[in-house]
Amino acid sequence: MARPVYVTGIGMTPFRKKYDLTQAELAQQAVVTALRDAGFDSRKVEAVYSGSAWGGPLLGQRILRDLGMTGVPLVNIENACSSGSSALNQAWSAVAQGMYDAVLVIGSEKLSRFGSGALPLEDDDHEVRLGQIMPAVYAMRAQRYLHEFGGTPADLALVSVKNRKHAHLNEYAQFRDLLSVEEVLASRPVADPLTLLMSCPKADGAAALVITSERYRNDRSIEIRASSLTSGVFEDGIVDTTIDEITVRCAQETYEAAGIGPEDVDVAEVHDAFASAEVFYYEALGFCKQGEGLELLRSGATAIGGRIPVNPSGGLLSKGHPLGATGIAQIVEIAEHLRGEAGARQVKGAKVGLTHCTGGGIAGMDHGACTMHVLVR
Amino acid sequence: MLVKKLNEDSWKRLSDDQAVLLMSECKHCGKRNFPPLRFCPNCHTENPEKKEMSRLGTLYSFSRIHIPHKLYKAPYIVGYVDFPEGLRVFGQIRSDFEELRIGMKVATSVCRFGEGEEAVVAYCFVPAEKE
Repeated sequence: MARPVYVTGIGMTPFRKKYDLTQAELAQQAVVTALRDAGFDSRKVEAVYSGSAWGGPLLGQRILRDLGMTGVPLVNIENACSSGSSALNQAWSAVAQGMYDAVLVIGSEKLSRFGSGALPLEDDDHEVRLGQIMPAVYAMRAQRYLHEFGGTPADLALVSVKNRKHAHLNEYAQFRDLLSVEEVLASRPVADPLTLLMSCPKADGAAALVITSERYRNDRSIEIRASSLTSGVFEDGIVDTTIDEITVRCAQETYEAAGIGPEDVDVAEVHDAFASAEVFYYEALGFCKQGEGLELLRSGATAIGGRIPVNPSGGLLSKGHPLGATGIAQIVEIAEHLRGEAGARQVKGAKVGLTHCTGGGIAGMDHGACTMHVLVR
Repeated sequence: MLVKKLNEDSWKRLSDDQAVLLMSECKHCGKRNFPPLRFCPNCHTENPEKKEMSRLGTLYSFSRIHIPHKLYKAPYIVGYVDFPEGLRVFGQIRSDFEELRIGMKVATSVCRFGEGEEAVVAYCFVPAEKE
């Protein structure tokens, strides 16, 4: 039987277009914030899990060397956009199994290294060589979804508008100005029907968590009731891509492990890499039935103040998406809501929070990875 | 002029503008895959032979990409095509964007990308009535 595991310290940097700091320096800022938040002596940290997609070799050592925190087991983890949340899953697993009482999880990324345009994908992928890019993967799904269930690009734009309204209240988000549907639709086309303002911007950023057992739990600790990590299933046959199979599968495992259902979730941070994706995830996570995502969005249920607020932080669409940091920043956001410390964007009375982070583009899979966490006050 | 063939293990040129895709078909369990796989993902039987697929498929979805790719000038059109063999294949589509419709028939063709020494040829899809 697994032991209870807690998020005891949280820290993140604002997500910005570019920091004049190295990735290690940026991550150090998040680590120190998380340790202070936990009121935690860094010498009690027994192991470290560091997630990043592009951080390069020994990133965790480079982050922690200058903080005098090495000399413990330290693992560097790459799982594309799920790198940070995969690191958390490994940390959770180790504490749950009784290996450690206190571990540090870091997620960080510096995407400013790439300049503009879509993120590079692996050239050994046959689709990538023919011109596949991540925005197109999402765009083709969106196109098919609108064909099957009805709806227009203006409906998808509502996701960007809603999330920006949330980000307006979040100083850690990269973009905070309010948007209109017209502005979203009139922004530069990326991959039809998706425009620039329906696509998450790149960002530099870092986030860190102190994860503990009961031993170091304090009165602001938040329990991680479930942590799930899965990989994509290979499928090159004729399947329905309007259902995000990997998220559906991961959600089933997560809800079962947490002993809850989608109706019990008070607040969620989901992987809105593109506006259309958030709508797919409403359905895959069970917040509504298949084909009813746009209706749920239009009803206002997923805005702060609604039945199930989604991406109160402003989501990837407003914060930006520093891959490795994203999944950890989602936990920071949810922990703040469950502690009642989310300020102007507080989801009132939130007791159960969910995070969902998928990872990566690879031919023949929905996504390379999917991670979900259930946090409970 | 140097013309490189892209993803050359997965298609065969039939004429100037006609091509056919190649799949693997497991001799043990019958599982088909595109691009052809050396080991069957279902039973791990080794299948060195490739089979030709139908030339016509149905457009499952598509998008026009507006940001330049390191190999391709924007805009370019991509899509997923469903073949009678039960396989879905990604590729570029050469067509007037406004003419494309989900569910329309497309044919497997040959396209040249880029100019001069940089040029590559690869399979692509075109609306079937254009043939």
